[in-house]
Amino acid sequence: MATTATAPNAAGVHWHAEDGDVVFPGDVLMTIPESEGLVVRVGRGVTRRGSKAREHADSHEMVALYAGTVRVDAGRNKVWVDCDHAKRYMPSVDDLVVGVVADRFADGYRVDIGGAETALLGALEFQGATKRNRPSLKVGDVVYARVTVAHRMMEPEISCILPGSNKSWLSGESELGPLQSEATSMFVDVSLGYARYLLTLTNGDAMDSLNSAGDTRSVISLLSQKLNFELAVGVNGRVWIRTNDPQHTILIALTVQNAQHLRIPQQIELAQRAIATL
Amino acid sequence: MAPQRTRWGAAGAEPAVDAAGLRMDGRRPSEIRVMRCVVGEGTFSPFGMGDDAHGPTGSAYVEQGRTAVLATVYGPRERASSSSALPGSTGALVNCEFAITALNVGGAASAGSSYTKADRRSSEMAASIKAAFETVIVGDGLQRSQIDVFVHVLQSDGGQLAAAINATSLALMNAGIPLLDVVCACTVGVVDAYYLADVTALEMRFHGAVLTVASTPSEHKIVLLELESKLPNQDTLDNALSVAQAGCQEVYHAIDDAMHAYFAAVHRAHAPIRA
Repeated sequence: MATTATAPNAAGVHWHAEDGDVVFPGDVLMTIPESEGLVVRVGRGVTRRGSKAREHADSHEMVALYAGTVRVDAGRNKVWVDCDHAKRYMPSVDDLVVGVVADRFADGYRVDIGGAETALLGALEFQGATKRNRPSLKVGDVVYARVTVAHRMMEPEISCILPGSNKSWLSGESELGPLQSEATSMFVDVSLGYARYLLTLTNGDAMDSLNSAGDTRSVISLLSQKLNFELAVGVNGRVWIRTNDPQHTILIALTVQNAQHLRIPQQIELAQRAIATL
Repeated sequence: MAPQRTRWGAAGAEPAVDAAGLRMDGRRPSEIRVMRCVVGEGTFSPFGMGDDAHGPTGSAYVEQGRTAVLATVYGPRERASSSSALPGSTGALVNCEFAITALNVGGAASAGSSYTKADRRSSEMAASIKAAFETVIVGDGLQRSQIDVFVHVLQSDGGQLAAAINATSLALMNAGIPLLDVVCACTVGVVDAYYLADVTALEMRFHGAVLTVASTPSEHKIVLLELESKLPNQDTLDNALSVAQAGCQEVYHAIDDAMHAYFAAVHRAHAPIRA
């Protein structure tokens, strides 16, 4: 609603919002001029005004679609809107998601990734899989996969092949693939913003960053000091946990899930209380 | 000049607007009632599997004066039956159910009638809400999804449809459903020469025309307009619309404050996503 525009930057882009502002649907975020060669990167939650009604086809105002926090990189003309409290996942390409096998066909599986539609997973879409040598998943099995197709006209598709990796699914070391579904594993649903937050804590070389002295304030690093567990976080708002003891699994799952509603000091206290019950 | 009308309601012949320019509840003609909104209270996700076990995706409770409305939103989720999609429909299917509790059906005019979900009035209100929001919900990724909106009127003192629309806007924002714009609604009653914003049930007894207008605060586009009476001329309509639009702006301030309060509460809980 606040439409105070700043002076245009070198490229002629007027910014109407600053990084971290709370915005509402319909709020103008930036005005872009008609100039050749101007590259503006528009991410999630931003659209051009009038793009639905086709009235303002020549308008160059970019408006927000969600009630959330706007993220602006004015130097590189990037803008997107984070809707952290959203719980409903909408798939987009290259998302890493935790899915549950819902159905099984001759040539693949139908996997529930928490979105509006189930996703297709080809039978051979596993690292190093061949026709004779591929995992056989049952309904109810959990997989960690990457979204490969997410177009509004088509059903989403996922794959357990991570480009650039050569670890085979057989060894169990592949980053993506089936997650062991035993009695001691489970997953919980969290809000999308919290899932993204957890991923920033455990990005890249997942296990290494947990053991580093880095962020000792997080629930996960506190729990990892006392317990051994395996954790997979999907941007679809699911966290999968596996330990050797069902009691520990439930403890970790509940702690992680409840921590999303607390502030950092309270999260630390929650984690410490959880550990104290062991 | 509007013709003289029989005045019911308050004892004696209380005017809609008295000599001091105040209405029966002390407001000025263009003032809307005090709004109180609570966003997201019903969406704490308890432990459990399955869609509805998590509670609604978004919820909002809105009080406008003594009218209280609760809206809950589920979705986007898979469509119950894909055959219900009309060919050429380009957006998400929005289902709306509107219910008004039996306690609120009162007064001499409606003695003996029962308001249920299947009542004609309820389904008309539901259809209005559905139509209003189908135009602002961005359906790009949602062709095969549906969004379910449930609206309950808990207390009824005039302006139910407007309050229902305001509550639905908040609930949709709480659910993180992409919207082209926020939709704010306001009623205007035309009584004699006065344009009364946000009419109460008592004021509706003056049998003036009542307009319900829903518009977008940024571009003032009208998303919904309901009028079930006759107006004397075009000027009256124009005046009523401008009063309504001003009322919608006031409503937007209240919605704005409510969402800011919600963000302040929620975002304190999370560390910033970016360092």
